Amino acid sequence: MTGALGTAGIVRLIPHRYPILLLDRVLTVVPGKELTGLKAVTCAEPCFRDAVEDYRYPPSLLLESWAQAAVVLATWGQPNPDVLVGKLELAAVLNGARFHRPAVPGDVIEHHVVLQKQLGETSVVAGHSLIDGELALEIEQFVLAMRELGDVLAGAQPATAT
Amino acid sequence: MSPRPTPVRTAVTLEHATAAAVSGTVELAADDPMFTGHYPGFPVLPGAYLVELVDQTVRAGTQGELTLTELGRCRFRSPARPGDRLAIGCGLDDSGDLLRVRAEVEVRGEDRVVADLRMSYARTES
Repeated sequence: MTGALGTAGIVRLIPHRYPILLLDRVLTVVPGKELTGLKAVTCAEPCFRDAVEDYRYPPSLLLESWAQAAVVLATWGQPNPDVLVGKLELAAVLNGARFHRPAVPGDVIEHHVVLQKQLGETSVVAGHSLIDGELALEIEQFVLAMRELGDVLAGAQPATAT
Repeated sequence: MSPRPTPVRTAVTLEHATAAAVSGTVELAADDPMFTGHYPGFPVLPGAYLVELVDQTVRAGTQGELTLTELGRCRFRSPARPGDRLAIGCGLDDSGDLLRVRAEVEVRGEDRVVADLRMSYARTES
């Protein structure tokens, strides 16, 4: 097991940057197997810029934060901190996510990710997130794939043949 | 009414809303600060933002208080990029306490599917 990794260590592994870098710390990692990480939610986050009474952290960002922990685990052996010289890590399929309770400012979210399968540049992961020991998010299965930039650009063009 | 916290800068414009379906559209602003971090030099919309855009469309086209409880099978087929105009179409299955949504997001004018998502909401009295 490898010990804690701060934010400066995380940006050496994944390409996500401010304001959408949503993982603060990696607590533990067993390469090829599992990872735990932390995300602290604060009221200074851009999503709360117009907030008045409702300070629930958007479920989409909770999911994105967990997914970034998943990317750290999936690419641990082949870090990809810059998509322009590396590859693009893209979400391919999400098979089931359940939101149990919202996060609010002051919460520290603990992400747990388990690598179920890795085939070439496709990784299958699952996991959950806890807040104060309570289940906040469950992910049944999440499939992510590394793709070459050129392939993504080609795919972004209108289809010319079917 | 207090605004819902959201990472999305540009609100979805509702186009149609019936009991069975809602649809909306949004143009991804190239100067959205999110794109500077996802990713530097190659901006693409994070998959989680698609969840957010569908969520906005559903809320704009339905009545009552909704809590997102579950995502079913969601397939991310083609990345969306700055300047893309997205069309968000949602089929609704409303059983009163539970609202199930089947959404498809595509780039308008390009016939390119970005993602299809299944989402479930609990209805809570407000």
